Amino acid sequence: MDFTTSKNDFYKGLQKVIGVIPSKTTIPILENILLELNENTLQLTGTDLEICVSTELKVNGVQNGSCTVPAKSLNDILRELPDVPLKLTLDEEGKLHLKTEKGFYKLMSQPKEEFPSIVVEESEGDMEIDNNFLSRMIDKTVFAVSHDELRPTLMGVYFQLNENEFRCVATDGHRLVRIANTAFRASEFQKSVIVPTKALNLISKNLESPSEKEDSKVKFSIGENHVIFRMTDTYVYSKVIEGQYPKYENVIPNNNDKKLVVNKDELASSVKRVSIFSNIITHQIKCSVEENSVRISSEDIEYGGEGNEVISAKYNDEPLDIGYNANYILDMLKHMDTEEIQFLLKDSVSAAIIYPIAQRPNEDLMMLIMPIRLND
Amino acid sequence: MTNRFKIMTKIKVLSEDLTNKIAAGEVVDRPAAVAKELLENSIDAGSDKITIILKDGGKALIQIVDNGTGMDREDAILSLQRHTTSKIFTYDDLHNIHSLGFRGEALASIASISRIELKTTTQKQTAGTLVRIDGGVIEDVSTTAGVRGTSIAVKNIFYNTPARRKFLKSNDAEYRYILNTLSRFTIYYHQIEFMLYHNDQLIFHYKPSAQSERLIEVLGARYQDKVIELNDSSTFVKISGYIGKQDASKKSRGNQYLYLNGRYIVNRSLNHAIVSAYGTIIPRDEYPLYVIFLELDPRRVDVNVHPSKMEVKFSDERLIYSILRSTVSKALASAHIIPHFTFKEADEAINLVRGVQTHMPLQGYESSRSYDIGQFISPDKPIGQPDPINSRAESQTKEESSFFERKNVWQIHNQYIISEIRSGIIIIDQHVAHERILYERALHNFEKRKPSSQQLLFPIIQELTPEDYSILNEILPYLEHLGFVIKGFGGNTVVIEGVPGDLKLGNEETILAEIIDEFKKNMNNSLDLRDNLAKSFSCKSAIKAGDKLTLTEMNMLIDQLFATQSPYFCPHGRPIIINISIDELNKRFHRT
Repeated sequence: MDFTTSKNDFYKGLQKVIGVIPSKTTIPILENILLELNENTLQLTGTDLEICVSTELKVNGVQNGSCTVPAKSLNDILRELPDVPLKLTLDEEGKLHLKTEKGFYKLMSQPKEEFPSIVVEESEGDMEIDNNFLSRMIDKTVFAVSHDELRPTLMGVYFQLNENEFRCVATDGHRLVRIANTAFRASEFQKSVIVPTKALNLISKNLESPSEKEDSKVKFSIGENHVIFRMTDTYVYSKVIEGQYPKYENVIPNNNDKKLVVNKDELASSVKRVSIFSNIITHQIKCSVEENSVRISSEDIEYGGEGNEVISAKYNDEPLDIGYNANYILDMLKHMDTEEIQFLLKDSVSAAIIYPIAQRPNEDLMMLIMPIRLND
Repeated sequence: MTNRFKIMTKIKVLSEDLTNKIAAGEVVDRPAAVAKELLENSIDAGSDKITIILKDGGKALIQIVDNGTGMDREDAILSLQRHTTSKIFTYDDLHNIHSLGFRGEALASIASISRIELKTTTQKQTAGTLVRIDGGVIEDVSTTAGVRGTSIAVKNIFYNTPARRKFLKSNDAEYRYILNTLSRFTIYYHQIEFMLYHNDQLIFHYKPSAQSERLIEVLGARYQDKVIELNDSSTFVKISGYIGKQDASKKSRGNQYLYLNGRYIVNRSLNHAIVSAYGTIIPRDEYPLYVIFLELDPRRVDVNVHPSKMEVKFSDERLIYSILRSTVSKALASAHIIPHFTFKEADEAINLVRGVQTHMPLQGYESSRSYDIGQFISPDKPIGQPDPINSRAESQTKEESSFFERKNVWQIHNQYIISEIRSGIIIIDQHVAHERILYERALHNFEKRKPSSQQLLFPIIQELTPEDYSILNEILPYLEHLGFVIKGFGGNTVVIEGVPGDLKLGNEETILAEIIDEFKKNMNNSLDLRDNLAKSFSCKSAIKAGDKLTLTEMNMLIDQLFATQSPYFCPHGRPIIINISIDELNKRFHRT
């Protein structure tokens, strides 16, 4: 293997892949990154056995070949180099030489054969979706997934594709986000899969990269037990999370008839301040909803602090005292786009539903939060 | 039939010798009991110097020599007969006993089962009296030269009651019993000089000393600094003495001394009061050290319960129980159980860095000598004397560092937290630390209104076995006080709708079954139901070894831990904190 490239090109390519490299692994080869040169195309591939990310970049190829090198060392040396031309060659002893005009570095390499081979299984169908759209769907949901390994099905976003809409759902059992768009429909195939959070984060990162144009499309395909997201020069292949996603529709109440409208930023900054004095573990705050106002208060019994604020609101129903985890509220508010938002409430122990005051065209965004039952 | 009837009708008055021997069975069961009775007499006689001489664990000889008031010839003879005493005279005196002995039977009992040689001289007399008794029969009374006081030698104990003699243990064992008995006196009577000889060897010689010094002298130097002083005279029972810190406890009983008006007593209920005050800061199978003196109006207590006089009856035992318990727990709470436990502020570390930074350029200019980094981190040199320019910034940093979290906290192996303290380092086991926090909170919550409870979006349906279901029904009200919301679902199935707000996400599914399992396991230990539930709950919902903690979480854990009543031991008695002093580290690195 022998090629020349520039530091910036090489480094940018590496950034698209490096996120998949597991930080702790019992299989040392997974800490390596696979380099494959074919003519003037260099393919970089990394995997943690669940997810595989691969990207292509243009280089000046001299001699085809392949090897795997430690991703961390490669990344560290590239980061420290200025943007200079690089020449990479694999010697007979299996060391990868990285030459700049000032010096050279040798990286230990292992042959491609040691690297787990990635067989991209055939997909049952695919659809093209806009970059922006996918980016938004991921952004609105991924924050609400569970990080609890005991409930693996909640550790990803539930993608539901059907004739009428493209829907994503995420929940950790305390809150839930559901976003649906009717503009993108999978007329060819209907399918539901749970995509792991890590894969989605890698996709998000790649969608932000400058090589992805605003109007470029992602080819999204779903197989028996995997999904592939193909972007301009990168693809993310991921196994899906096996198991039954909870029947979330059953727990979304439809009889919440008390409507509360508040200014999102006002609420968010109040909650942020008041929650400083909440219990550091439970982050519990109390929202006392009264006619046209919400009092947000907190009390930390262990340290004795207290916080209190009143903001104006639109509400004319019976007063309610509801406890919430302030972090959940803040997370949700952060992902609301409109200036005002609306809460649909029932009582102090039932789920609250939050909507933006106005939905985007073709879109339906809903968030749900479970309260903390306050002291009797 | 007739024959038997005949035998039964032959009722005889027992001879005095025989009754004494029967009585001796109650009072004198082994050499140690002889030593005890004789010592009590010596102390009641106002001695301030007592010598004890033993041979063969007391089996061959127990001799007590005192310098007390002594007896005249008449008294000396009388003293060896049953129901003769100089200590009480009327029935009323029996209820107002200030002396150790009073029943007037000990000496007679001892005399009936041994050979005694009594030599006694009063202050007034110049000549003493010598009485020799063999198996309760006076053999010889003569006049002898004497010094003030009494010397009584009890030889060949049980020589005439072979059945009793057979039950004696080895010389060593009997010797240990005597030592044990002696310590009850030597600890309390610190103003009396005691000497003990065994088989002609001097075993100890305690000179009159302060109570606290005598205590350490008797218990051993290793208990120095391991006892907490107790003092409470606010109620009708005056409590004083010493209790051991948790590292002074032992795997076996012993080192537990309870005195009432100067008399060593055994009282299960009061012992329980003391031990329960320790709660869980000592492991379950260990016994705390205590030396506690109770003083109480003698009329409020009956010591005439058993001939050995170690059992007493209080007229207000329950009240004394609670006073004693609260006194002990107060003392424990106020004492710093681990010495010098203060968190070192981050400011010292900052000074260190600042010192290097501000002085380094100077050194560069001054000379080319290579500087030794050691001089900056050597602890015995003053470091970073702030110059006026820096001092402002410095004080700011200080404020900030006390405002924000400690930085010198590390987690290792996702299991232990290490932190620097002034005197060295501490290692905290994260699981048991959290367990202690949750345990105390649970107990606290039981007393209070129901706490807040995170409602679940997907209620958890659980089917239980009939046995588990019945347990759940029993503990359900308490589970609600912990923050669970659980409802019946028909049959043995329940629905969990809410969990404690600080329960780690993801534990919801398993926590209930785990709590019930643990609860079942603990049921054999006859714990109080609430205590059991608190233990089961804290054990199962605490963070586990292997859970990664952020800096904030660690700081939180430490803060909460030290807010608990006993941060050093978990509810099951395992240690939470290990303290390694800098001295210890220095020693290990041969820096001393």
